[in-house]
Amino acid sequence: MTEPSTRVLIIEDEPEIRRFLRVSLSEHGYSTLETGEGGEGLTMAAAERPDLVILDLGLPDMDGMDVAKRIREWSKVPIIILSARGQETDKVTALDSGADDYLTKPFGVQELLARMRVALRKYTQVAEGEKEPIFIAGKLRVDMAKRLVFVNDEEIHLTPIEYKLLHELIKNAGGLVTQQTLLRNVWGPGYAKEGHYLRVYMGNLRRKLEEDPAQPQYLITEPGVGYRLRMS
Amino acid sequence: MNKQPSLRVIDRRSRVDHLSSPPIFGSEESKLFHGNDSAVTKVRWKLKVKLAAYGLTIVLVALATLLGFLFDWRDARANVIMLYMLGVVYTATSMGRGPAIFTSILSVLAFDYFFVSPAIGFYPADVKYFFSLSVMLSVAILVSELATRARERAKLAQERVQTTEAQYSLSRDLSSTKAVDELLSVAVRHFSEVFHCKAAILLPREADGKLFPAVTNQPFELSEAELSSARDAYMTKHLVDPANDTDNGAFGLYLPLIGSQKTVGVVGLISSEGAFDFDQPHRNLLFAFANQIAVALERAVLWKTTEEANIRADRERLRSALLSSVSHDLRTPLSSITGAASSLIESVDVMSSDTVKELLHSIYDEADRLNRLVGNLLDMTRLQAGIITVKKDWNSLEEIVGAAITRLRGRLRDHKVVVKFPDDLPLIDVDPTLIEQLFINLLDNAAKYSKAGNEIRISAQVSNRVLTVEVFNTGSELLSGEEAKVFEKFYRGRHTLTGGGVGLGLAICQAIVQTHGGKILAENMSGEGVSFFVTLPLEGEAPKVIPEEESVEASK
Repeated sequence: MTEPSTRVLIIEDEPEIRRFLRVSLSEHGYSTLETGEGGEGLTMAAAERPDLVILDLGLPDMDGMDVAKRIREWSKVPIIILSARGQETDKVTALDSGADDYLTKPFGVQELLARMRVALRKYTQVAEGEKEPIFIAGKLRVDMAKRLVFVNDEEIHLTPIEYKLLHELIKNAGGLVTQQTLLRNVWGPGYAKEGHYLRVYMGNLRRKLEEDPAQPQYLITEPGVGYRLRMS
Repeated sequence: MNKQPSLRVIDRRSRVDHLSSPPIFGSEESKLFHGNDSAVTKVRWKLKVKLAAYGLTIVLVALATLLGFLFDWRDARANVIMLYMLGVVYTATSMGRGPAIFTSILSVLAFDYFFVSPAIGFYPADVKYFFSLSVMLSVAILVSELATRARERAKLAQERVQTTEAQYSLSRDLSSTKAVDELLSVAVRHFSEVFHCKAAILLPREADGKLFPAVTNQPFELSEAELSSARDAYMTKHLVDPANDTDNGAFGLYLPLIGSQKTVGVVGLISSEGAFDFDQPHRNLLFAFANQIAVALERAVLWKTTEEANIRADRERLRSALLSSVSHDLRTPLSSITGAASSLIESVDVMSSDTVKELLHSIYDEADRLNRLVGNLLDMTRLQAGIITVKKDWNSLEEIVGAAITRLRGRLRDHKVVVKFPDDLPLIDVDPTLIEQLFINLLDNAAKYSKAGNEIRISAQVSNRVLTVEVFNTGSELLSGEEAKVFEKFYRGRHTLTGGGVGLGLAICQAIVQTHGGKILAENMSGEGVSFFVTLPLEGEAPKVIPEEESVEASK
């Protein structure tokens, strides 16, 4: 399923978690590189050019947020953050400064693999510039060439902004899109702090696409962080 | 006439002036000593007013004489006397005793000079008008005395009203404040408003007992001299007045604040006009103020200490409960995990695959439970310690509740969750992660106390700018008295159906709701089940969203 050559850099100071990651990931065909320090992680990221980075926020020598920021200065490699309860602010900062997704400890290996797949797919898509013309998730079907949206084969009329919002989530389907990114890409850089626009339009979109807007199947909220378009 | 004695007469008449200690001339010097020019001008101005009164009496007598001549009443002297009498009565009522006596003497002299025959001039031998003189003098003294007394009574009554009002307004303001700082600023404001001066309250420092200015309303310079006066007042428990008590060059008046148990502090007043001129009622008011403030301050300090003691006790309770729950509640899942893992290590080769799976599930589930317990303990400790910063923003209730349901998908697998929200629900200014946690805990609780397959209903409504969210679950009712107890830390209901927690979930809910200025309560729903009601005040208005105009078709 995964190319055996996919190399993952693990920057995490807890040896037990490193062990669990190493064992589980190699079991699923990934090869791993490990370090317990942020500084060394940066060097390894530059020297080894991994395909994905798993980064713990609570490192002993430097802030995980800074590691993410520094990597982003020269590389688009997908970064998945591991955060503990109580690091919500750092998590959002790291995501806003370029990390792709996050997992809150403790997490299951299935969750991790799903996040990694989404992040890797987005990376290769961006790199190769390919575009799927049709997106399908459950009963939702979006024809991006014709800009048409269907639920249960019934066409749904969206306003331009609603469509743009949905499209932005589809571009990163399965992955987390932060509020900042959505506001910037859908409304413009001047709207970075106008979170209420997002609430109102996301509410409208759910009313049009979801069976029960209060128990959404596709448009999932991560309160205080962002949104995710669920594929399964 | 000699000015000096008449001035003293006026002095005694005017109560305010009279009571001002030190007396006018004495104080002139002390005020000059203070280098205050305005006080000197004030005294000069008062002198001028008094001289003007005497001038006016001369005019009055002249007028009466003129009228007498005009109507040529030399033959009807009784009428002329009446005219003079009129002048005397007028002076007595409006200007007081001194000018009245002066008028009567002047009148008799004028009468004698102008009207007693045979010709203009003094006839001192004519003693028959000595009688007129004494009558006029008596009238002058009597009327002026009556008028003065009436004026004084009126003034006193007015002052009493003002004093009562000032005291009432102080006690009203004091009783509505609890915090020490607030109380001090209220006290300082009242002092400076009522006594027209700068005010400061000095309190003994906790560390070394030294006095320091706790609050002032205007820049209040506390030189070493002022501080030493304040210390004197604090130590001796007596008023320290710069006019007579001190010679250290301090300007301020220092009054000890004597509470029921000890002196709680000192209030310092510095008049913008130099020394203080307090009459008796004001002096009484000053002491009454100091008493009231001392008592209020004592009460506030006491309240603060009790409050702190309560918080400490609460923290202590939490700590001991934490210890006991760590020892018991956390050990239970840990024991299962250790047991299952050790038997796997020991004999994984000889186990059937079903047994292996069962043990692995047990490890996973128990670890999950442990994670929730630790999460709750962490949340509670952080909420209690105030470490959590509330990051409010305009959020959608539907979205947050949806996120909570998504997050609890596993736990709610066997329940049917029904959400009914009105379409026009406004955005709410809340911390989304905290409110998500609130609903996670409420839903978790609902799942815990209701049977599989039962409905959990969430509904919301807005009325009078308050949002009420109801989370209902079928199941056994709360016992009477349990409605409040369920929100206590480490309280656990009797009828829990699946995996008990530490008893913190609802306590966390309450803490979260309280940080948002809302309320949460539990209620039995007439035999069907239990509802939790969260009410949140809707403050402010969400910023407007500019609507788009065209649809996606129109733009194509």
